[in-house]
Amino acid sequence: MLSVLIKKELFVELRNKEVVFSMLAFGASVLLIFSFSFNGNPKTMHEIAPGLFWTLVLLSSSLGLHRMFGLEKDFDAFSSLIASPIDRSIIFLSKWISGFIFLSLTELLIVVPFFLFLGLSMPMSIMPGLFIVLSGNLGITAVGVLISGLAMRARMSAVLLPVLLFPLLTPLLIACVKSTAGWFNANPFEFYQIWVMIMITYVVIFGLAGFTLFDQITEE
Amino acid sequence: MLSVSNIVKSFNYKKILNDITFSLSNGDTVALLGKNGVGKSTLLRIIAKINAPDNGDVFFQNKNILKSKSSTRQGIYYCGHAPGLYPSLTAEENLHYFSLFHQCNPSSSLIQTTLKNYELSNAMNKPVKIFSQGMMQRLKLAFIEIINWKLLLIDEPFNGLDISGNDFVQQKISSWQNGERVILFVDHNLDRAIDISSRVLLMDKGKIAVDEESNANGLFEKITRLMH
Repeated sequence: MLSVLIKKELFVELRNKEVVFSMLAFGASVLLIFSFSFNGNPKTMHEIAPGLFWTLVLLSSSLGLHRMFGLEKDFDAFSSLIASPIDRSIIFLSKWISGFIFLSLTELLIVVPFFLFLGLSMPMSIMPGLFIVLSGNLGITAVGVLISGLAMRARMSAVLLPVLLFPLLTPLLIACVKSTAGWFNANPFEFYQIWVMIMITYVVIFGLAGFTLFDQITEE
Repeated sequence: MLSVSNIVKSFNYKKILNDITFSLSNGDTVALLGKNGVGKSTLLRIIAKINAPDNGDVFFQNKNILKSKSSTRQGIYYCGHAPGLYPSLTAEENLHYFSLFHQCNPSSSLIQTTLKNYELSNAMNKPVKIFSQGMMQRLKLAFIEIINWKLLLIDEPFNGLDISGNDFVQQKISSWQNGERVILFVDHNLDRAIDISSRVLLMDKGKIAVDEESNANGLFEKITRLMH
């Protein structure tokens, strides 16, 4: 059933192109603003780049996460979905995985302009950075799907989502920024492994929380 | 087959459902009646496990579906007020995915034949967001033909249908009942509801005020009096 649900999420997105496109358009606009706002020297840019990257990801993801549930809310397809005999933990997993795919895809499209516009040089070793970014994405989408599921039934869900999401994501984003900075500065992994551990812990805690609580969260 | 016991539900500290208890057996086609806002739709949504009650239990085939795993709800189909479909997907795609969610895998030809029977063959490959309300209603009803269900919860099945659509659905509801199933539907047309159903439940002030066979003497007058 998980594969059917993921397939459905990807298929609906392929038709609508709303989640990825909205994240991409918003991310590109923020990136443009960043590139014109920060005309510092390359050293300063190098130092603030991790913070800028994750700010960009946070802002874009909140928009995408809202649309992920908004698409199901429009015609109340979500009620039909949860009324069917599917384990709601599986619904959470499908949303989490598809959200992760959408966010990673958006980042993939925005990462090259990010380095180009801000005049940054790509670190030599790609793999640690890739691991950090994907772990960060997993954490953001785990918390995001949980909170979106909670906020979607509210009247002002578009407002409620960032209000609940941003404070909850702050510890994760600090860990993401610190890990990315460690990678950017080509520090040995031991120097920033504690931050990577925090990220992984976040993914596990919120992944499990979503998996176990989604049943209660989705009921009105 | 279905046993609803002591259901209580409040919204904004106002008790909408107050100790609702009833049982339905195989072969029952039950009309759920009541004034607007009395909680008929909420009750259906609680049985479908979309809304959570403040108190009470729902047993389907002797299993408490509110406290058991999702597979115990296999055989329940809820058809609500809203379209409950993915607007960007076509009629065929919607039927395909929702059938899979209900552990059915209908062939393409079955889906196409069903859509044809429901006069939707011309709109089969169009996204449902361009459908009229009547077409949307027909599509929701077409889905009932495709999946295996034992308990059908249907909220205002005649909503948005023209006269021929009304007759069509009325016939369908009769044909869906095979003696092994339970149909619980909400309707606002008293004559029609009594005509189709074998039993009538009338909700009033959060309780079941009338629970009688449809052919009971004086039922129409009794319900009319309570609904005014």
